[in-house]
Amino acid sequence: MVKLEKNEVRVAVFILFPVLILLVFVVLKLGYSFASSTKDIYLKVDSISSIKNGTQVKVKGYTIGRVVEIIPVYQPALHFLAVMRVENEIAMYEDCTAVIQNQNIIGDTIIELRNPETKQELLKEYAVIEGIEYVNLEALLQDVHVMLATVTSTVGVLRDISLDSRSNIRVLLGNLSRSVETVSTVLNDSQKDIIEIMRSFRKTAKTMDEISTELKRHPLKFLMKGDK
Amino acid sequence: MYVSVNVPGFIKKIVQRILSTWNGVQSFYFYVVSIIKSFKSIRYLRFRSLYSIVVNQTRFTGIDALPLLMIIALMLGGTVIIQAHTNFPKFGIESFIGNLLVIIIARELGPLATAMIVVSRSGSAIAAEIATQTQNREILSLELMGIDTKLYIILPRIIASIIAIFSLIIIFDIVAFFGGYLLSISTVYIPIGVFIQTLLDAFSFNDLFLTILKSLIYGILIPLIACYYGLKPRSNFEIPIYVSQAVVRTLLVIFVINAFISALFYF
Amino acid sequence: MDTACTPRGEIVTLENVSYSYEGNRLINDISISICLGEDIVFFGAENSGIDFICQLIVNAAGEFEGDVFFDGRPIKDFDEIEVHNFRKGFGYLQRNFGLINNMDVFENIALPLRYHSRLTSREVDERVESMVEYLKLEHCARRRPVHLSSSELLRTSYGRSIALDPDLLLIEHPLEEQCLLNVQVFMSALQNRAFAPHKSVIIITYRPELYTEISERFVMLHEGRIVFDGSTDEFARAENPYVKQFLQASIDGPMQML
Repeated sequence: MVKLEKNEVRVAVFILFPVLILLVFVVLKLGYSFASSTKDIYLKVDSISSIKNGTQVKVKGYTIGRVVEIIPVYQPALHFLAVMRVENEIAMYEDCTAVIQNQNIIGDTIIELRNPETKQELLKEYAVIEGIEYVNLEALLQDVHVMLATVTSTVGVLRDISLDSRSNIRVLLGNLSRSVETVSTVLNDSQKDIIEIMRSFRKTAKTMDEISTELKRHPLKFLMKGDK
Repeated sequence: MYVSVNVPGFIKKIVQRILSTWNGVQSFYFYVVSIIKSFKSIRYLRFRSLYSIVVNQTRFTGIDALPLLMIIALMLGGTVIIQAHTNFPKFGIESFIGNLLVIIIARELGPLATAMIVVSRSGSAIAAEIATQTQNREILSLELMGIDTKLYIILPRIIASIIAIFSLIIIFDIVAFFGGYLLSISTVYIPIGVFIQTLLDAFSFNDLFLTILKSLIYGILIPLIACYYGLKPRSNFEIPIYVSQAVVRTLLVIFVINAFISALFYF
Repeated sequence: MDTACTPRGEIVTLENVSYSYEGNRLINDISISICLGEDIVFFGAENSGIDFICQLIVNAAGEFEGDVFFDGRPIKDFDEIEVHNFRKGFGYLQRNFGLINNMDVFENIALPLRYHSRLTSREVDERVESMVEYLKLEHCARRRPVHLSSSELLRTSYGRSIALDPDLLLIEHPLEEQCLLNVQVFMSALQNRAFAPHKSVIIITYRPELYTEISERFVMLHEGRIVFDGSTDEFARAENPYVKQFLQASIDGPMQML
């Protein structure tokens, strides 16, 4: 038996470790899978209200696997990865879509995988698919009902608003005609006063003429008149 | 009849520099040719006499360099991921992170950083060891024993260097990948399975072939240049000068060859 | 001296060899033959040329004039591979020992066996262990050269040079920097080797008188020429003026010393 020294053992491990890694790489690259007949695929979803452990995964209605684990992911925003363990034998392509939907009105949620129309590279293990969530029928009807109620109440509010507005306009028009009447009265009253003011202006002008004539004739007398 | 021409000093210096570089290249060429010729006597060589040298050199070049190499690999892997997160949108990063690591680390940084570590540690050590052995007349003593020193000294170092660099590049890549992964999960969650799968998808057989090719070329060149400069000193005081030259020239050659290979295979 | 060789003939022959280095003529037209099994001491003063004899024999001195024959073949004709193969036929103990500093005593002695021999690793280990025991190096077998004393370095280097059991052993200045009390193990091992048939030893030294019980032939060089080539008795009688001046360490004589 060959006896190896400590150095030789260390060097042997140092050489064999990378060689082993490379061998595993080559084997994996050549497409050999160490796993059995199933592979794990991740489904990325925003909420897990509709899927749970055991949710069936189907293709064209045929069950090919189930959700086996749901992993919460905190970054960059909270979302979830559902691990779907599916059969290897059904060929799924890279651009396939995953639709989360109800089986029927009262049935459970299922994940329906749909292949693209053209053939592509096969979906690899641990690939991530974005989940598209279909809202279920009951929730849809409820939403429609809520929407109709909201529309009805909105129409009522609009009618109330229009009724209230009509009386307010009438009051407003009355007030407006009264304001016009007041303004015409003020104008009529002002006319007499204006004539009187004009007459007074004329009188004042006449007086001023007289003063100026007197001032021309006897300026000193006029000036001294006041002192006496 | 000779015509005397006044040549400016700087032109003279440039010409002298070119001539000296050319002489250096010629001298290295003859050295390589003499090594190739000495392979004729390989049939007289008992490989067991090289075995302990190969083991010791592999240990020194490879295993002893592992702690340093792993730290550098972790840091580089982390740096690449940090830069990727800073400069790329986070959405969908899990799909291209493998490609990014493979392109930057496996193709370029891994082999280059490994070669730099080996040159600075082992290249300098080989040059200094050979220079000291020459000055101590150990090389002459081997020659007088009928030992082909070119094969006995250079060949085992080349074998050890190829083995060590190949293993170091693989280990560097693995450590850098997982260093990068560990850092990346602090900001973006990527399942380990997805990460490995994207790495596997991104790392092609072409990359594997180039990793092997680079480890072969570096493994041959590093000890070859180190031994060339190790055999040069004619006195003890010249040893540090030639050791320094050995490291600088080897680094230069490695950068040039790395660029050449990248241009040849990826351009 | 009668230089007729045994039937197996001459192991090394230098024929009109001259050697210059940087314009200085260090070896000047030397011709000498060394027979298999013959032990020979080359001595002389500094710069006499003795330091280049071994280098010329192993083809490590560079270009030279004349011819050196090894087993009848001119070593100038050897290509690089043949030089390596022919050198493993020698044991060479250098003046500064030339031990590999990053190997311990055991590994230094095992080195030529691991590189050249066809022995299994276990056989190599066994042979080295017996060599370590023979040279009394057990206590320092796992020590590196920097931790050895002068005599331990000498014995390790000697062990390495005879590991392949070569026919010709070349030794340069082995005892010049040694305490004579500590080299008895080495001297006894060297004597055993020198007395072994078909094993030759060439010793280069400044102290030839220490080897009178080992060697049967003494050759003195001065200014690159052979000035004395004689037996142990002739050397001991010191009738040759060069030998006489050398042994008496006198400044009076045919050699002008600086």
